[in-house]
Amino acid sequence: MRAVASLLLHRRVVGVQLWLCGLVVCALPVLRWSTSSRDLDSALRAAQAQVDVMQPVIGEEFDLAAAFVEPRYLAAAELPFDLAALTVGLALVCLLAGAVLCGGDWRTRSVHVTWPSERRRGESAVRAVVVWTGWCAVVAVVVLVVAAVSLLGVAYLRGSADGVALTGVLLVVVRGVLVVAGAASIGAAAGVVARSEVVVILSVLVYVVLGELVAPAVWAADGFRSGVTRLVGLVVSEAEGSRGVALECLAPRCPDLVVPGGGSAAAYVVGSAVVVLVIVLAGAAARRPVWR
Amino acid sequence: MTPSRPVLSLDGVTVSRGRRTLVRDVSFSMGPGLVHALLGHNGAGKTTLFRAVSGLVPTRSGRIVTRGEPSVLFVGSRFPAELRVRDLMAYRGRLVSASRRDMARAREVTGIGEFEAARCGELSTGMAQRLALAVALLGGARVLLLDEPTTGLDPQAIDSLLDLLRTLRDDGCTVVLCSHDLAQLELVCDTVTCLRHGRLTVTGAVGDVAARVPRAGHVVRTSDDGAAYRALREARMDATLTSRGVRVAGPDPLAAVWTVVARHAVVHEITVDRALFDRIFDEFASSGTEVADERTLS
Repeated sequence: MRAVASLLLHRRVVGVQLWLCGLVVCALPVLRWSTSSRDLDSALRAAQAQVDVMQPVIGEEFDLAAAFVEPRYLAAAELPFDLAALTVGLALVCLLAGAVLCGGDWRTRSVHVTWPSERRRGESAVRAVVVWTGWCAVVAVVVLVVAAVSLLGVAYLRGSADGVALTGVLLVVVRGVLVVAGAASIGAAAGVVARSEVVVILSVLVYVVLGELVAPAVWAADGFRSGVTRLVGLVVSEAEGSRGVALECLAPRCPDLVVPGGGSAAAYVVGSAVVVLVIVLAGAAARRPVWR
Repeated sequence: MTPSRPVLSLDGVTVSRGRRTLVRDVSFSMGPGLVHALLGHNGAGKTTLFRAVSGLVPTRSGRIVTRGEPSVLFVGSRFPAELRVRDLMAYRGRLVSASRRDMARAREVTGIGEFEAARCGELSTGMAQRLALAVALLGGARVLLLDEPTTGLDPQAIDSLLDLLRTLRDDGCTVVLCSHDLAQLELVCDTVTCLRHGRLTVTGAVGDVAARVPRAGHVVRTSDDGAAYRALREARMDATLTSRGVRVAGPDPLAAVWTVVARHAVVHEITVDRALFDRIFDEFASSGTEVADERTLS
């Protein structure tokens, strides 16, 4: 296991993964910093000006709250969703990178030379998927904690961190790590099962186009929720009874407070079972005869 | 030449994929410290047999016994391009718990020390072959299976590979190789097995198998090939004038050819018109003729 882990650090795909993670961890707070401001008075003046312009046009009372655009970064409302979005991106990267790492070694026949026997193929596949899953979990912990801390910093400087429940943030991070680990294991195992990364990458692309772009557009009226939307909901897992409670923010219109809860126990069980299942599946798939 | 304690032994091995039988009832064995050639036409089952011996595919029937786990090198197999040679070696060394001595030996025998800092993707075909052999040796394998090891190698790299195979043989390794580069193979092989349409046609020591194939003709290059040609024809020998020299076909012994030609021109070179392994291939492994009787020479 140690040998596989040490080799992992020399692989290009891991370098690309770390580079992408670093980029996102830096870009997200910078984006939030550059698009937020503590200057509430200016936002109120801009909203009032908007009301003054619109009221004569529509001829009736125009609510200031409707014209108000929140300039501050309010962590209690936005941080859980930012972390969830980061989780989804990280999960996608780990899924694809896992497929490239494990599937690529089969496509280039590196596995045939390294471990030709049936038993060794199975063992090495399980070892690779487990190491990759563990590595991605560690990366996810670092990325999500760094992102959470830096976004809280942005909130202190360019908005407000009032109302943030640190336990809730911690739960979001834990669920994020589990989701990323699950995606990493699925990606690596899919690479082993398909014995190529190309099939996995194409499948993900087809899913993104059909499941995330076409289907939500076609069935929008039926309340269709795409996989990513469900995943974000799972990571945030708002506590029961916390929905619809507005944050106190000293502005004409305040966003709803988001309080992450413990989540459904079934989700944790199913998630863990999926990880174990794909690891076993990878081991079994690697033992199939290698005719090519 | 079947040793008392073989390092690799196949007994009635049959390999099928679906309803197709790729290798049928193949039996042979070999001892330690040998280079063994596996000859056969395209689709004869050489690579399938390698896959079966290395464990990549299952056998339908029969038994394969090897001393230790064999290492295999297939043409077209590649290591991850971004890895440095020394990192790959260190990884493999850790996986198989190779000692420093084993690492040093693999490095020394294969000569990969010259390019240890290079990335696998930067290696030439010859370097990559040497690296693959080094990786195989690290596992302590006593049986090496090399599928088309000369593919893509220039003559100098082929010479290095053959030297390496001799070194491995002297070290007690048994190397089984298949290649279409037959003229090169015969310089290093001790034993040979031929397959035709998945069946074994002959197996044994190269000398014993060679005794069963027709004698080679000769090509004589002289100071005056025209005069040599005329002299050979007058001596009722089956001679043909070619750009390489005068080709003398048939069973005429070399001494008789020399005697006739030397009277009319200065002989620069006499070579055989067809390498030994080419003739063995024609006799026992080409796909054109039907399966002959199965023979095991010892």
